[in-house]
Amino acid sequence: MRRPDPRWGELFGPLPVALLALWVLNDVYLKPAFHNFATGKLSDVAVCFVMPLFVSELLGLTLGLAPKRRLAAGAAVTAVLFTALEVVPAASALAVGLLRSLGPYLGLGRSFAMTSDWTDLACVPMVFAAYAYANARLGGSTGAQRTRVARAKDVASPLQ
Amino acid sequence: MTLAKKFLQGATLAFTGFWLLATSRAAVPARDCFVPFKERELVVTLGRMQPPADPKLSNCAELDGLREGAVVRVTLSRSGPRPELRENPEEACWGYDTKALSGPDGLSEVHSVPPQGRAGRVLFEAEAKLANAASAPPCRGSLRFTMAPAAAVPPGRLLDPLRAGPEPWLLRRILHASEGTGCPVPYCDDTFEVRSVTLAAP
Repeated sequence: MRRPDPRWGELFGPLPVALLALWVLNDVYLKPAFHNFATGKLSDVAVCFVMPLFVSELLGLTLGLAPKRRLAAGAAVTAVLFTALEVVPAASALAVGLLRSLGPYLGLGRSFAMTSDWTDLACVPMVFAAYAYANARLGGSTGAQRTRVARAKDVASPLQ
Repeated sequence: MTLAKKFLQGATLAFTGFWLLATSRAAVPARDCFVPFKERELVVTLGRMQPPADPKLSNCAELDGLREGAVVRVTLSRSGPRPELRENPEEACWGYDTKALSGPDGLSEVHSVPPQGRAGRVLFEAEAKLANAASAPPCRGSLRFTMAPAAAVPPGRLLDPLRAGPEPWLLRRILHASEGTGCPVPYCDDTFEVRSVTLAAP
């Protein structure tokens, strides 16, 4: 019998949680202490991996989308948003304006900045890595695969 | 799925959303709040201890000998460029590094807290190990000292710690006792008013 698709779970895996921890460590300690190319890119790598899973999980919880569809949507939203913030000055200005209005309500103050750096786009493939990772992680529970597994079991054990 | 796992998943989701926004906080150069000097040895005389903000919090009593009238000697200097801070950048000041601190009993391994780890408007923030042999077994733990003006520093104004006393300054002491040692309390946090600050005789 087909179990319902999980509505969340892609973000709560060992790799995303480890990357989230590394991202926080980088922002809070490594960047201020070392401030070099590696610390500059580390947070972008983490954003490109973690954000698609975050968006996907939100879509699963709010709209109940199936894992494959919501992972694809999360990856697309992240790739487009990340690229726009890096290469379109108006997009980053709009984002900074929004953050400045939201920040005080979240205890983050009003000082926000985004740097435009085209080399950051080298991190975008992490979006697809995140998609592949989460797809493999939730893969056993996608509807089509599960139906195939169930059919195969029915064929293998016709008397059950 | 257990309730604990659900809770952890929800917390991870919420924190990720928060950090996606927080990661764009700008690092702002710490501003000048104190008169500039190269290196100074200050003699800080403590005034009365302020009543604790939370009456449930224990005070450190006299674990390290500090009480009203006690003297803390601290050597301050600046090393490195002006720090850039993300935490509380509107209030954060460019403080001084602690080269030496003496006065409290049983202190060792005194070191300066890096600028990024300091509370907003402190003149200095230092950590040290405490080993008080007067208790049995000896009380061991870590102590943190901060000295700061009592009120926020208005932009453009430079405070001189030598004017502490007439101007309200505070010295705060926080103890985290090591487990299984003879400290009467596991944690304490108390604040002294600063009675006066003078330059140590050369």
